[in-house]
Amino acid sequence: MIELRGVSKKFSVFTVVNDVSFAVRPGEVLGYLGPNGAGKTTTIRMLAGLLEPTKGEILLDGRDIRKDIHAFKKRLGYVPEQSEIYPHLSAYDYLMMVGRLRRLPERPLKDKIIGFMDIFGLRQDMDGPMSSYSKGMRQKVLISAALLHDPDILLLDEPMSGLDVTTGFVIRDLIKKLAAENKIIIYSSHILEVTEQVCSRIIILHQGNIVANDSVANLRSLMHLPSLTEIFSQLVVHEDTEIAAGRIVAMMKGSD
Amino acid sequence: MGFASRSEGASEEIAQLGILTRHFFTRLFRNDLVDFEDQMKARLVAVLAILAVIMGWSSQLLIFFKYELSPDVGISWQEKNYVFILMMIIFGIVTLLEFDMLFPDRRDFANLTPLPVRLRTVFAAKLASFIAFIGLFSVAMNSISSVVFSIFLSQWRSNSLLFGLRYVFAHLIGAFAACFCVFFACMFVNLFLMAILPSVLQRRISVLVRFVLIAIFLFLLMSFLVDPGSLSGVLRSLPRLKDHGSPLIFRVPSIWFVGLYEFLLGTTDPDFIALARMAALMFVLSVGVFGLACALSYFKHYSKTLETEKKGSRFRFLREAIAGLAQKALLMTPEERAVGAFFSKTIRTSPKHRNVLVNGLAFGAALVMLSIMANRRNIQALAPVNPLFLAQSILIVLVLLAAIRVVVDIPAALESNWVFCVTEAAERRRYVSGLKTTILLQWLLPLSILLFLVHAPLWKNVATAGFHAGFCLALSALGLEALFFRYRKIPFASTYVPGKLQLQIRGVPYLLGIIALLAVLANLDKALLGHQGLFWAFFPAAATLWIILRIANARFLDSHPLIYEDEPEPAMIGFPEN
Repeated sequence: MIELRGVSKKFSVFTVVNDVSFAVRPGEVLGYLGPNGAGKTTTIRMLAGLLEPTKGEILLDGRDIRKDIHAFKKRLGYVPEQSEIYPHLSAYDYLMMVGRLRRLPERPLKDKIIGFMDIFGLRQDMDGPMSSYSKGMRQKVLISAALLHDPDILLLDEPMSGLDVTTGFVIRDLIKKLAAENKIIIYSSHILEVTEQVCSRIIILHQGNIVANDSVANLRSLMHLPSLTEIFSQLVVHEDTEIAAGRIVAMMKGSD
Repeated sequence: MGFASRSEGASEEIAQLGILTRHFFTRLFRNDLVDFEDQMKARLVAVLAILAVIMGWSSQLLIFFKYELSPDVGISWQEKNYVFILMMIIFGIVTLLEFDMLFPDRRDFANLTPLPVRLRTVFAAKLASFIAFIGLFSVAMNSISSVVFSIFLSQWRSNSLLFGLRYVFAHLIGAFAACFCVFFACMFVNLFLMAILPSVLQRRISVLVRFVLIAIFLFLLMSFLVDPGSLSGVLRSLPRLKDHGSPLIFRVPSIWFVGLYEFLLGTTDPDFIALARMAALMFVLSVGVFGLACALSYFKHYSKTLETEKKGSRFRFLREAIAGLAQKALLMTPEERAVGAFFSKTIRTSPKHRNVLVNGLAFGAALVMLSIMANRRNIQALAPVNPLFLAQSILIVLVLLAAIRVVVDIPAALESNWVFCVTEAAERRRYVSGLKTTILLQWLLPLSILLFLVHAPLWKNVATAGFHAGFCLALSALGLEALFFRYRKIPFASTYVPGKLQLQIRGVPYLLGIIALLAVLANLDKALLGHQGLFWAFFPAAATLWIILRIANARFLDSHPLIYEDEPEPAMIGFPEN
């Protein structure tokens, strides 16, 4: 089980994540939602060990991850929000590097990489530099890199970003299958329909604070709302979206 | 399409060209190695000011004592020639160093492709901004020297202010023509290769061509600055050649433009008039071939864009199998193999890193050429008892090590470093050990083999050549450990900006230290080659020292974390306040 206890993160005077606590058990898929700037990516980056919390602790099976960060990272798969990969490397070189850094045996690693590239339709392009890849292609490489070592914990920060519809369906079903394999999955996204389908529990973050933490079914019955989209709107959207859209159209035409 | 809509389209394209040229010109003041635009601007202004002062000062030194009291009776063309040669060399180096700026990069494509801008407009704007940027160097180099020449030399022909201004004008036109002739010629070579060769081959060959050209230009520059005597013979013979009407004088490019200079001053000397015609012809020719190569490479890129083509090699599996076996035998752990492959791939595929390494190696080659030229009488023996000759091999080793040390600190893509952070293992020593082993195997060992192959037939003694190569390899290994002493980074994965403090503060002591070290090492090599039995004591001693350094570095890494974000060096150093 992975657990956050009173975790906060401050950048200068700005508190981006404020006293966040939750736990995710094996086999559970946690949907981590919130509008832009809510602190989702910062939380995920703290969980990945890329940022140090200003306050609070992150525990894996009851142990602070900082006590043995290397052991924690060995069990971690991470798909970042931005497709930040070395652009001069090819997908094959990049995945070989990641696999080696994770100490995977060479022969099965090569087979695995070629297998992943086949499934994601990148076999033909896997030797070209990633600078020439589309966003979706890079995302597929990042997803492959996160899965290469069969991790126990998966941090997925906007994994569907740039993916085509078919690959999106594959990832959706993959998350379900990995949950069935008892993986701990934290899934951060803006696509509420997919989140509703794959997540066993939802956390909604707003301005660094948790405003909801329950299963989708419980949230629906508690708030008497039919869908996650409406729950989300009720909790974090304080602006009439129709009026905002109308203002944008008016501005485009120069009449506002 | 009607005339009106065509002219509207043309005026829109011209407007876009102006906007893009300004945009690209501003972007030339930013680069990946410098944090802030202001920092880059300050650095560029400093370089331009230094160039202006150097050219002005050398012009003044050349003509002050000669023409302050005695008149210029048509002989000042020799000094003008000297200044033009220096200027053309510097301009050639600047052109070759900045050559890559001519091409739209990924960011340009990402941002401009969706816009209604023609690719030809982007290329034209890149070219215009690049010429403007390069032109700054030409303006800087001539700003003071043109005035100096005018002040000291115009008085012997006329006291009129207008003639003084005409002198400045003639100097500027002659110098700009000379500089841009070099510029167009250098660009032609690179663009022509780009136009005629397949991309993969061109990338490989252009690195070599760039290396050779930079090495030659640097050698000529250093010959001028460090050892003027080596070329003064050539320069001294020019007046005699001119007096005897030798056609050889038409083979010295700088004199064409001196001819143009004198022609614009109203000379009646038929030689200068002929040289001016030659200058005009060569300038037009250089612009023509440059334009042709530009058009050819443009059409090549128009159909393919600048993205790299997919590669498919028939020998890939064989090559991979051999490389895999070698890697497994020499790089024991996966982390070592990962860092080793990352180092090799980055050097091979990242133009930024490759260019820095090529420039460094070209500098080393130029130093060796200069040293050989300066000591050509001593070195004629080319014998293993000549420490000056032995020093050349050691100098190449040191330059290669220094260039690699600089290159590994240049970040590849800082935002991508997270992959090393999330996979970092407890055994940090393996990352650095993988890097060092790779450098040793891929660069230093082949260099030693090359040195052996050069010296064995030269000395006709395989054992001596073998010992010398072994000595260089031992030095390389020790130098590698010394230069990476307490190094705790993954190559290309730290924010460190290289060379800020070191060059300004420590540059001179470093240079003196390297010269002293070279002398000591060359004499040690000579002594050992004289008593080759001593090598059996030297090699174990070097190996012991190497092992001690390796262990010390490994222990240091066990207790210190890897650095991803280095502390920036202070931009200014002041005395502490009481």
